[in-house]
Amino acid sequence: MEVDVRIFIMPKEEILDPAAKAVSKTLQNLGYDISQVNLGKCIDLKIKKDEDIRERIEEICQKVLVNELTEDYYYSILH
Amino acid sequence: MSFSEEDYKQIIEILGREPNLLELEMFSAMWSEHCSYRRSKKDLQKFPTKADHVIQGPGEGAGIVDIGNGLAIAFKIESHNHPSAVDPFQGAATGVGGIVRDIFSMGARPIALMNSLRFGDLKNKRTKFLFENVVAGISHYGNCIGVPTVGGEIYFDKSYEGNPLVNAMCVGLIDHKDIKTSAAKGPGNSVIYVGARTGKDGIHGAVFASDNLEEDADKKAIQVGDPFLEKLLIEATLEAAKHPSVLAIQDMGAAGITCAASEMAHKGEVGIELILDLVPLRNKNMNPYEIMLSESQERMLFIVQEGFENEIKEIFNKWDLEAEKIGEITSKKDISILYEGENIANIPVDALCGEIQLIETKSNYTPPIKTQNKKYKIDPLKALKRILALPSIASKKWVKQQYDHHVQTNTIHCNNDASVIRIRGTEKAIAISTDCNSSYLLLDPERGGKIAVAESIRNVVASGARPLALTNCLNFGNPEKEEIFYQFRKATDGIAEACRALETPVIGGNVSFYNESSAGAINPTPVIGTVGLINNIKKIPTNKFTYPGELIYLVGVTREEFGGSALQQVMFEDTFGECPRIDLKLEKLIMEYILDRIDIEVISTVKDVSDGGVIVAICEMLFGTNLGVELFFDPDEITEELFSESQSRYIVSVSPEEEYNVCDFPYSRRIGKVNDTKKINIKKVLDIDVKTLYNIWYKGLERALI
Amino acid sequence: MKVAIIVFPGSNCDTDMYHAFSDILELDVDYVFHKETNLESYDIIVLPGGFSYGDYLRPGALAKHSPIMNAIKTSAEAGKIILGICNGFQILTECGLLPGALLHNKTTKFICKNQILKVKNNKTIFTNMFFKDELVNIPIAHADGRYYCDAKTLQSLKQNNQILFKYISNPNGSIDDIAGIINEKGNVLGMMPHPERAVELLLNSVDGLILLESMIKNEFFRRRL
Repeated sequence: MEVDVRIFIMPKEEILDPAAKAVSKTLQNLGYDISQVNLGKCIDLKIKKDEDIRERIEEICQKVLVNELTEDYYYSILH
Repeated sequence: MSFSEEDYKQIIEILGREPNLLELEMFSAMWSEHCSYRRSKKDLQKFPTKADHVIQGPGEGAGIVDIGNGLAIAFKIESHNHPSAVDPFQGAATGVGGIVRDIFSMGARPIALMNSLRFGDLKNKRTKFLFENVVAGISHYGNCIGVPTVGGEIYFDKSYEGNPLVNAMCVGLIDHKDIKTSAAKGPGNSVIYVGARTGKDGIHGAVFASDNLEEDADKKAIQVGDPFLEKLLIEATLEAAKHPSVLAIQDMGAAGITCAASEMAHKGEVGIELILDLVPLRNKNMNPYEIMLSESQERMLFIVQEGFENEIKEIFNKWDLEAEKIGEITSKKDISILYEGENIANIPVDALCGEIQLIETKSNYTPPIKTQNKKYKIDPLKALKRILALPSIASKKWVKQQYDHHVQTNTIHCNNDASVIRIRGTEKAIAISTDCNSSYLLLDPERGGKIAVAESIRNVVASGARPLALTNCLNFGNPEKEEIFYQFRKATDGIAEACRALETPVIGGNVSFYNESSAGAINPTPVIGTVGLINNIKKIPTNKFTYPGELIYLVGVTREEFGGSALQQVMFEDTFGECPRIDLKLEKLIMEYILDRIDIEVISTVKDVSDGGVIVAICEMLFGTNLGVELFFDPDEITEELFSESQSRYIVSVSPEEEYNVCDFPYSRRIGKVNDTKKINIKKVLDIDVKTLYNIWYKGLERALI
Repeated sequence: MKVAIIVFPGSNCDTDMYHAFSDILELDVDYVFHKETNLESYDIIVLPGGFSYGDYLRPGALAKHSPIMNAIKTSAEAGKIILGICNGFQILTECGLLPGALLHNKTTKFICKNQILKVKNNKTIFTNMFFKDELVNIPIAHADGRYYCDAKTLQSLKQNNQILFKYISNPNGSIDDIAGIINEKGNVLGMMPHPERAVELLLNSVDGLILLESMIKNEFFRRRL
């Protein structure tokens, strides 16, 4: 049995995100009242359901998907 | 799908029955202008295509010329205009991907990329968006595959509003013994599909390119590229191509598997049978039509000798690429498609390629008689400043820095004129240039066509290279309109004549019609890509002044010629009058003279005179140096001396000791002297700091983007 | 003395490095495919520039899981010379052989140009043939070259003199203008500029050659001892 996992990866707050700045500026120039934009990634996985599924997702994030020096992450398991 | 009644009748005649839907789609794709050149073929046959050093002329993935030392250069230019108008990033990226595949499908390693880009007015938001994203797309793809993008040209003109032009040129290096072609051979041999899986990208792409752009063109037709996969494909293909069991290679481009399979069979005078169930798919639910016509990127077709399929598979698997046998060569000259155990299409190969009825176009168009009554009375300094600020003339550094132009560590020069790439392991280098002044062509397509060839060759000559051959990308509007077809016919006449006079054959290229929308047709724009050979890298001249005391000579004849010029553009914001004249005999004479002077090492700096005239060339020769010039011109003739765009002219500099080597040439005259004043001084005309002009030129493009 | 140039899927400056070591420095050089697992016979190991795995996920993030990486780590521990250029630098930070991370350029665009650097520490294996504070021209070509580390790491890099090169006129927003660093032990170098593009006068600069020669000279003497 497989479950769907959605992982959100965002850059850490203290790090300059020039791409987000560029998007924010464009939106403001178009007249939208935007005070902040953050650009991150969303990764969807289909993974075999298991007892220690949360442990394995954490492992996948820390080992491969996320650079913990520069990124934060959170995920949800969709049933 | 676009078909005439006559075409349909012909298909019935060929098959001896009514075609089924899949067969009809296959005919539609292969008989489209983009794949068959039905409207243009007759005129393309005017081009000279042979020479002793031409190994491969038009008809293959790319043309190939010998450069000695057992080596050869493969090159070609191609357009990706319509996709770039809808999705500029992916359109440009996949344009690069496609032309690079054409090169390495011949067994050649891609060593350089150039591009010729045209957009509308940068004041327009949409144009800005197109421009920025086309550049980003080329950067994204070219940089990732590790092929340096070393130059090209970028023009902005209102005729391209809504119809940007993205022409990509690729140059590759190959050993003679490694050259592969695409003619399938040997009934029983295997058809191997390698590379990316087939998805739904680009369905209807070939037919899409053969129709005018509608306001809401379907995004479904845009292909998405994966440069990482392409890089792996380059390495695996070049490795596999050396294996003796590989008999033929072709990339899958426009009209996907249909085009590649039928063309390979046609060239080899064999038949081909494909089993669609074996094609690696990205989407599970694809029907046979989608599989046959998908334009998913990064896919190649290999013909491999029976029995050696596993050896070839292993090479691709090493690079983590898929390689699957999907069919066989047959002796019966049909393309036969099997799916789920049934034969679902069966068409004689020659009917799809080669024996297509050409569409004769008669053009009774005669251009209106042009008059020019305008006076060019100007303040030369004001005019010069405005010309240097034109985005078409200003520095393209903003663009150039986004392209990796150093990778492969062979780039000697990548300035505005020609780019020079050294050939490792030899004392040689090649010079590459892409050029077309479409304003001249608008005024006189035949003359403009000649000038396009001459100018491209001039750029290559100015680097000390003898032109070997050229490729052309013929971008025009709707050829079903008499005026447009007149432009095409006359331009190709001019190109053919210039190629003969300058002894430079055409070894391949591309036609892009229907560059037209409700805004109108583009100016006729046949882009010429020339490759020349430098035999000794120690003799490459620079195009900048080097020291105070150099004497400046203008080689060529100057007349009052402002039709289509940059001066005309800044004064009247219009293109009118007579196209500059071109004397091909004189062009050849001066070309040989310049090459000879470079060879005996008496001139240190060479630059061809083009857009903006002599004064813009002088500025470009000064920018980045800390030098100045004093020019001797008659103030009464100053406008034509500075801004005329007469053809066949070069500016050279010599040391006083070497002056006698240039001053007695009948078409040479001394026009000035280099000094260290950091100014341009023309007595009684102007006296200006080079820095002031440099700042205008340097920021010209960036200012237009704000 | 043998040099290994690691080839990841998508590396594209491997041949440039090969030419620098083989044609110009006349050393014994091998390409080593990323699926190999043994680097014992090599003294100098180079992770070249390019777009390994297309830079997908993050530059260097997928390459760090390649089979060859274990051998690279043990070689680093054993004190062999490891040189990571551009994408190579990114891979070294991802796998922890060097501190910090390389992020997207501040300008958000790819930038390719000649670049002036200042030599901050000339007492290392890699820089002993430069003068202190010497200005050198070593070209850059990257979209993700902005060096980042936290305050503590920056403090430590400064204290241990691990910063080798700094940008003059910072092109990408790197913290403290950092262009290249070494590990604490001093045998692993990571830098964004490409020394292999500065080894011939024909191509405008030979400052990269000085770096490569420093490395070799050092290795030569080291083996003698």
